[in-house]
Amino acid sequence: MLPFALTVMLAVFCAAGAALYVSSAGSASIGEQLAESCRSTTGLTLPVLRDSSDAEAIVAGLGASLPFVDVPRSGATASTELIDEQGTPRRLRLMQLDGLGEHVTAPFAALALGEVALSATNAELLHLAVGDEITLAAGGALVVGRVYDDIALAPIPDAWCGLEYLIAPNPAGDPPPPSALASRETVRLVAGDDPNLYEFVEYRLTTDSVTLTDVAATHAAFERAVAGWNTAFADAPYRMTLETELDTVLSRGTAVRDTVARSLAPVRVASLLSIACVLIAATVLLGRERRRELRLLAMRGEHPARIALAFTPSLLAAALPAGVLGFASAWLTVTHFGPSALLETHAIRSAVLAATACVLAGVMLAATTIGVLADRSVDHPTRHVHARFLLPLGCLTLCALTLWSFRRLDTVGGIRTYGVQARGGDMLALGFPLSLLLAMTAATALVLRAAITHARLSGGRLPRALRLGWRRVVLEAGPTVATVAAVALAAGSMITATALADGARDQLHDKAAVYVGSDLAVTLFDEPVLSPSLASRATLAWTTTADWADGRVELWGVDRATFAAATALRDDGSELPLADLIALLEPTVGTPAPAIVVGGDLAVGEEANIQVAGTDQPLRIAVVATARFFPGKTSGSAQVVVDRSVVIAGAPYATRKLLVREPPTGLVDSLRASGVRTGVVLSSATTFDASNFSGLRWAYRPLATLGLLFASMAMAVQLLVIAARRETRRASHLVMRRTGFTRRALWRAALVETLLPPLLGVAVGIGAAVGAAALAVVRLDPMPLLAPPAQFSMPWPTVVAIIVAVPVWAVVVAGLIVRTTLHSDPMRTMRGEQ
Amino acid sequence: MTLQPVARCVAVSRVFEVPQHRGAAATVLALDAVNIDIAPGGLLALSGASGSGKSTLLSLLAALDRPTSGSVHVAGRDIGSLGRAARRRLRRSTAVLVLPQPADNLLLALSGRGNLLSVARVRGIGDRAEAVIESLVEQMELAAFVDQPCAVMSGGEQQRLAVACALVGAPPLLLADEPTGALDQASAATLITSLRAAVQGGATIIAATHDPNVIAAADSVVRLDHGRRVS
Repeated sequence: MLPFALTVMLAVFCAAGAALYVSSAGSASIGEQLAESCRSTTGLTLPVLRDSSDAEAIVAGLGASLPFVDVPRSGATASTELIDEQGTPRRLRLMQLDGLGEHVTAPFAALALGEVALSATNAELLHLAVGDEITLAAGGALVVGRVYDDIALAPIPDAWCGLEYLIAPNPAGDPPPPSALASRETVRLVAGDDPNLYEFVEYRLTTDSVTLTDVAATHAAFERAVAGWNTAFADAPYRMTLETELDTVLSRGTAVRDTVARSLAPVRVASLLSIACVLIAATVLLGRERRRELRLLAMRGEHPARIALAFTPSLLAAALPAGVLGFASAWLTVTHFGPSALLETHAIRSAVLAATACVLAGVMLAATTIGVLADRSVDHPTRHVHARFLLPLGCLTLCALTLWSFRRLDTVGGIRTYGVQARGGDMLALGFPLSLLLAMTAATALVLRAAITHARLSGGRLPRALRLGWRRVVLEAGPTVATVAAVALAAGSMITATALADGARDQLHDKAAVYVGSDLAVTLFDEPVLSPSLASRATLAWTTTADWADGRVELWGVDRATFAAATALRDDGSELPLADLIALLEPTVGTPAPAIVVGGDLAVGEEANIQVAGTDQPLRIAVVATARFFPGKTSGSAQVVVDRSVVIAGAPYATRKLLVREPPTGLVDSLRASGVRTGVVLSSATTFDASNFSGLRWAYRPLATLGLLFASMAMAVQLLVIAARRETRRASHLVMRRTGFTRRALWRAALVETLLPPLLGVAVGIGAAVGAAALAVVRLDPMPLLAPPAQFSMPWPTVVAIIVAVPVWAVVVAGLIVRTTLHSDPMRTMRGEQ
Repeated sequence: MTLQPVARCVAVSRVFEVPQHRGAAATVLALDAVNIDIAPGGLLALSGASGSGKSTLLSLLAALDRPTSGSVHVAGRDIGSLGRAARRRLRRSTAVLVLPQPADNLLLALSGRGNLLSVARVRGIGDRAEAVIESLVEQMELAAFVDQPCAVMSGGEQQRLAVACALVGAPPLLLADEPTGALDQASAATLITSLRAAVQGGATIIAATHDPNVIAAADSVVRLDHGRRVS
């Protein structure tokens, strides 16, 4: 009954674990999205109208119904004008938001009426210091009560997010208009009757972990609150619309969850089908143990259904605790090793239902198998359905499925990332690696079964112990083929999963490196001064867009002395190493500029004209090398790389980019502090939405779990074989040991028996996995339009781990064989009692 | 008036395929055109050397197997042409087989009475079960051990109980394969007495046996040799 119970446990683990895992991925995705988002922009801001006396109460009432939000923050903002030292009026924005003063350096709790706090930059800009008076154009004055350090921008503190327009420079590097923090009363006093005064209450999502369902509920509550606000303030001068990034967070989280669910579907189907096969095998073993009883019942003419029913209570008694254990294992595995420990209630309910269904289906399947076994044990059909036709048929079916899924994968690809969205994930296409593994395993099983049939008497010249081990391997095709197949599937699934997950990670890294140009790219509006240590891994490049005969082109001028040290190019990017490529760019006076062309139709030796914006004269280039991709290539347009002097001379509006390999922390801040105006900052670590990558990783991880499952099955098959052959093994050893068959010889025979099938399985698994992953990785490229193309790389750590694990397991099983063979009562063994 | 035979074998042959090395198969002719008519009532002994086809013939009569050629009729029905369900019904209440090993005929976890009740339930005896069982207990002299667990009974007791189980509901044909094969002389003698008692009660029994005592107690004897009927 133990094998049956273990199989039910595995089935429950798979079925319940799948439901829990999808929910866990959804929660983790939401967690990542929220961590990457500003809690202000993902929250809800409800305006408080000044001309309504109960506006605050109404808004508070609407806010009270919002789930999963923090304590609301009230705020007010207004614009005014001050008179500067030269007597010129300058715009000044006053801002009040609960608790904002506690998140500056040095923090403060409250400001007095008429008192303001300025950032260091604003104070410097307005030539003000603590104690100075600000004269307002409309009359009256404010006093500078505090000056705080500038707020960090990368990353911006949580309390300040959503207020970037007050502190961050615009893309041209210009600082924002001056602003000051003030108390609510000061803002109201300064604004007076000015309609620009805007008071609001901000509801931010809780910092506690939330699930996808929680976020969906919060989003729905936001919508209700907005509708409620519009109803309550029907006379308001404007209608409120829901402007929150929460819907983006929600849609991304949902997309990741759906992607994982779609990816999990073929894995779940394959695992449950495999488990069903093992369940039947375990039940057949149970039937063997109780064959006398089954035969008697069938001989007495009991209907198979009644025999099945008679066994149901004992099956249920084994399946129920196994189901509970399986569910608990799934729960623990997902919460401890899954993407997130946070699970949705409906997912838990689904998991419980799936577990219950598995237990019931397992019991029904086992009971039915027992009923059929009993019936067949006494009344053999005259016309046999030969099992030898089933395996080729199954193999052909799997091959057809593999071809079909490959065509699908080739056509639609895998999970694709479009900006921040992950789409795609066709179940059939994603099932290709698994179907290829299954097909190759089935083909191996087919060949192996035929080979074993013809090899039963082989190995005659081997030493006695090795011969005994070998003969036990080829004694019965079923157990050996089952072990080889289970090990092949286990090894194959684990290697494929690792190759796909690692491939997705490497692809993201490679594409980000090409897109950014290096680890960090900063657009600069001034010439930077770099420290010597940084200069060795940094370079300046000038970029602009231009036109040529084929359309738009990205023109890059690179510093030949430093570019190769600050950037990298994957081996398949070009025929030449990066340093050699760059060396070709040395310009010669009076000749076309040497250029590397990435994309486009030009060949080496050809020349072309490039029309750069802002100049009348076209830039003449001569192609000295071509590349498939190059650092800084960001689109499908061709990229032309020349020496920087060519761009500086020929492109007046070129943008200066600082590319840095392994940038130190705070580099951008230190550049800004040194007076260099900075524009767009791109980091290869954050360029592509990490949560999309997580979605891919989570989508491929279950395949590894399936590998573990198959590994468990392989172990179960071997243990079942040991259990089934225990009696004959003991009896034959009793005879053999009288003829000099020692304990050491028994060990050797057991090792041959336990090691050969798994080793063959591992070889088949590795071969199948490499084939599957090599074919799939390229087609599963999540961003196929972005260079470089996906590339398969062998997951050596996983391969080595599997190769090491197999002999260890074989020794353990051989030890079990030796122990169970030697520890027996000879007399009882000979009588067949144990 | 001629009584209809309870069982009839007409040119019955049974060939077994035995798998050999490298996928080949050898054939074994277990029964070769055997003809037998079995009249109702009485004890028929099937004798012959080991491998002569006795057990194969019993299996065919018990609807546990199908002939390769020829036909086997039990209670007027051609067993070979029956479907699986009909053959099951036949095993349940018409042709009941008792196996040579006493323990193989009983659910050892139950008591003797439990086994009798279990068989009575299968055969749909219902309300009359208690009376039928009491009658069999008396007829087969089982009272001393019928309430004990089967696992603690002796081989002889188990085999007598097995015969009693087979007789529950008075099936037309009782087939016994080596009924005394696993018993000592005293137990075998008691069992033979029981079989005779069953015959006196109207049962038709076919016993495949080597035991001269059973053959001596039989009303008729059929001898098989290498699958052929020789007498």
